[in-house]
Amino acid sequence: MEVKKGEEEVRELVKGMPRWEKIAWVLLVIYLIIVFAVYWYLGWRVLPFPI
Amino acid sequence: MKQIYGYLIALAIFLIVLVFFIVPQQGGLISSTQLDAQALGQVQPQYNETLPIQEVDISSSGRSIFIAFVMLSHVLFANLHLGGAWVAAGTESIYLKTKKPRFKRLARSITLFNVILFSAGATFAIGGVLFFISLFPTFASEAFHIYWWPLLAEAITFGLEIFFLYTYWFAWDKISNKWHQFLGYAYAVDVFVQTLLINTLASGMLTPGGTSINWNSAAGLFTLPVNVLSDWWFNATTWILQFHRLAAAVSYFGFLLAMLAMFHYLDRKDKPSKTYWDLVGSYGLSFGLLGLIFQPLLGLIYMSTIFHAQPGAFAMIMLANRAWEMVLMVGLLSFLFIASILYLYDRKEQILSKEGNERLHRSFKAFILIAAVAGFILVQPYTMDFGVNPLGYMSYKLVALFILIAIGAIIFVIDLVMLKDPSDMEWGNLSGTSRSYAMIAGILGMWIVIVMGFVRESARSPWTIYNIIPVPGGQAYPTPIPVAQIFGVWFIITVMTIATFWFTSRVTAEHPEEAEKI
Repeated sequence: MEVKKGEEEVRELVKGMPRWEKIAWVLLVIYLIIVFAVYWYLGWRVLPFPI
Repeated sequence: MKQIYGYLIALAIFLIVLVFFIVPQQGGLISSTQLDAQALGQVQPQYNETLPIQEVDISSSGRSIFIAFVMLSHVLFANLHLGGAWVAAGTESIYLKTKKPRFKRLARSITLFNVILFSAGATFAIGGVLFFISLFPTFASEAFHIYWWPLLAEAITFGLEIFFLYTYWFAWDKISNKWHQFLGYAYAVDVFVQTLLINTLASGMLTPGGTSINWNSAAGLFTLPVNVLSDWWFNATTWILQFHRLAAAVSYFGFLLAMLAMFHYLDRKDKPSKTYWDLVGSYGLSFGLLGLIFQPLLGLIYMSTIFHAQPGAFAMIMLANRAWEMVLMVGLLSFLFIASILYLYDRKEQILSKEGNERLHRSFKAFILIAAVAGFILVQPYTMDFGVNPLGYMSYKLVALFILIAIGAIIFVIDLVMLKDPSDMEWGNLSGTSRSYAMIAGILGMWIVIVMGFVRESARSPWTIYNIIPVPGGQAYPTPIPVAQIFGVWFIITVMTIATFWFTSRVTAEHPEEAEKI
């Protein structure tokens, strides 16, 4: 129930956003995915860091 | 205000522990000249200095201190253009779209600020060249020979920079908006290219394009085969250094703008000016955060290229005697992220405490706590004299950095959203806490730039061109600059540049004559 309520709230929030704001949030998510991928690949797999 | 004292005490404790505990524990007091003694003994004879060493009568590190002082100062002035040109032209674009006079006023203030300080940056650059030639003559003659064409092209872009910057300023309101914007963005692109050309040399000193230098026996336009020259100019770290510097410059300029806005806020007594400078503070911080969230990503890629090109230098700055410098870097980065979050939290509290914004309010509080924990992880050293610090494993640090980037990116967008619709807030009524964090962000933004420059220099110590040309003088002139002395240099540079920036900004800043509609 809680999850559903949260989903609805997010949907409402996104609906009320202007277009540029939606684009900014999407770009942010894409950027974070890129950062995660680079960190995973270079940080864990390539560089000889003490993991 | 109690919170700000807590923050400053944490920063002071971090620096004290770093200098008095981590540095000695990591062997940071042992010079790279001593550590690399064996390799220095095998240097090709033509790279051993034949001219007498020019003393400067400071200490055995005096020559390096001269270079550090002029070059690190130069970077702070040069970055006004590399980052500030985009901010100036971009702010004018916003004015042309929104017609809000505050953006025009700010774009003009930034441009005149850069016009006046242009000569200071150039003076430090010329000072650097003079010191290179006089204090490191073998390096200077070899490097300037390899980089003749990029340096010639750089001199041309320097001339073009003068043309674009000065016409951008003096043609304001005298030519069409379209042409004026062309001049502004041409100035920004030109500085970008100019930086790239000088970066061919700066990066090549750490990751040279070859393991030796074998000149053509005959004279010609190219004194080395073109493919060899190309390897030197576009070496392993040229491009990544360029983009890392661009992100750092935008970030630095944004935080500097926020800091100067706070100075003006305190200096001005009238309400319209206070409102305006309050807005400029938030605006500058957005640029600061924008550049800041890109730096840790570009930084890791930069590290990777150094690792593949010069594993010895990578090991030195990440795992061995200079690892404390990276601890300092990420420590300052963490404190900067936290200062930005605290500024925005305090600044936007009026909105956050409104009914209906409880979730956002709680999120901000959680961000502060999580960022503090991430910062605590990041400042953990790994290799110590007594063994390994279990909190210093890189897996924790990578997660902590990722979290800081994510939080920084989220609050950047929140700041943008709030700036886009600023009528919700009361501007011109800043708390002492907000002002203090914005000023701290400005200082930390400057420190990150100069510490980064020093990290790159000390990564290649005791070489001027890594593994090829040594710093002349051998064990009598150890490098890098010892920790106490480099902190002294950073302190002097910080005081000098902040004073210069503030006195210049007092002359160049345009203030509103009457209250404008927010």
